[in-house]
Amino acid sequence: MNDDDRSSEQLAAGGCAHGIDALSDYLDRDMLPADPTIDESPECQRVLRSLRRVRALATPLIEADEAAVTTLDQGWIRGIMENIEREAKAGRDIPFAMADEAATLVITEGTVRGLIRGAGDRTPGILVGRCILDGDVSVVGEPVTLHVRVSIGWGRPVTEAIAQFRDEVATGLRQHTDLVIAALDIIVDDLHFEVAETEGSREASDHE
Amino acid sequence: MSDTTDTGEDLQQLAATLDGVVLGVPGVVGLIAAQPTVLRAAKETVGVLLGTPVQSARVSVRRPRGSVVVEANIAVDSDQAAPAVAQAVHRAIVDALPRPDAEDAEGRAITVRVVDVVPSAAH
Repeated sequence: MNDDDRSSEQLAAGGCAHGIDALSDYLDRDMLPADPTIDESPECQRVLRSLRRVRALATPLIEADEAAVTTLDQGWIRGIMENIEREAKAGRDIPFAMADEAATLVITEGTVRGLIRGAGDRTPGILVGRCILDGDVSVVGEPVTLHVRVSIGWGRPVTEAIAQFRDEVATGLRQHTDLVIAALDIIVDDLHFEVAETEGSREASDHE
Repeated sequence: MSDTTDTGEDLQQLAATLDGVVLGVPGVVGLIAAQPTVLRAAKETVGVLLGTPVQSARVSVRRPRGSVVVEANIAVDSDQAAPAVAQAVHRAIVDALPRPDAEDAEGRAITVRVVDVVPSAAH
């Protein structure tokens, strides 16, 4: 999506008025010169965090073997990028369960999707493609079903990786939301190649 | 309402005070303007160009029909619990607002919105 295509919807509080290409360029420039419309936008920041993660997976592979570029499904990567961009948006307000009626305390849907994406970032071999919160999240206590599509690193034991990812998602949502999760449906719909990822490289991408 | 003489300046001052209050709550790592980011940045840029820097508060305070409406959009440290941080921010805002009289007590609306959970390593 071009910047010109942005509607006023994207200009909402904390919204990101930049397309994935502009944000990718911003990363290339080491985020210089500083752009407050990016630096102060939580939506832009969520996209940047996800972009760093996708790059951290793709770059070592390309550096290890230039021919590998052809093995990367560019269309699929593009699809992930588009999902990242779409899901970073604030979306619905999800209330916290609380007794004080004089206050409205909420977390945005985009933040929750960011938590799920972050759980994928912490799980070796998992890359979150898409996630959907199915249910009326605006009502406290209403059961919600999560549908998450992931790609898994080639050669990773699927059961182990998914179990770890499930734990990470559950822990994150318990810590930061009061959502009642009725089910967490995880679909592995793709495989991706990985260069041996060390703890060091994962931490480096986290610190970028 | 005990104070019916609030001006825009008073509200701006209160909002600026609340900025500091909210940012002082443990677990809060960012405060995002309720005003659209692009609009805010444009205003600030124009202000700098005109030599009259505008540094508007990030917490929004409005006083429609005598009630007080406060809105704070926060980013929370991932090591903390977002619901607890949001509640702490709410309490801090309540404590910082001028004491209401009896008829004003129900005229307050405070919204605390968690708009990001930031990994500890990233801040």
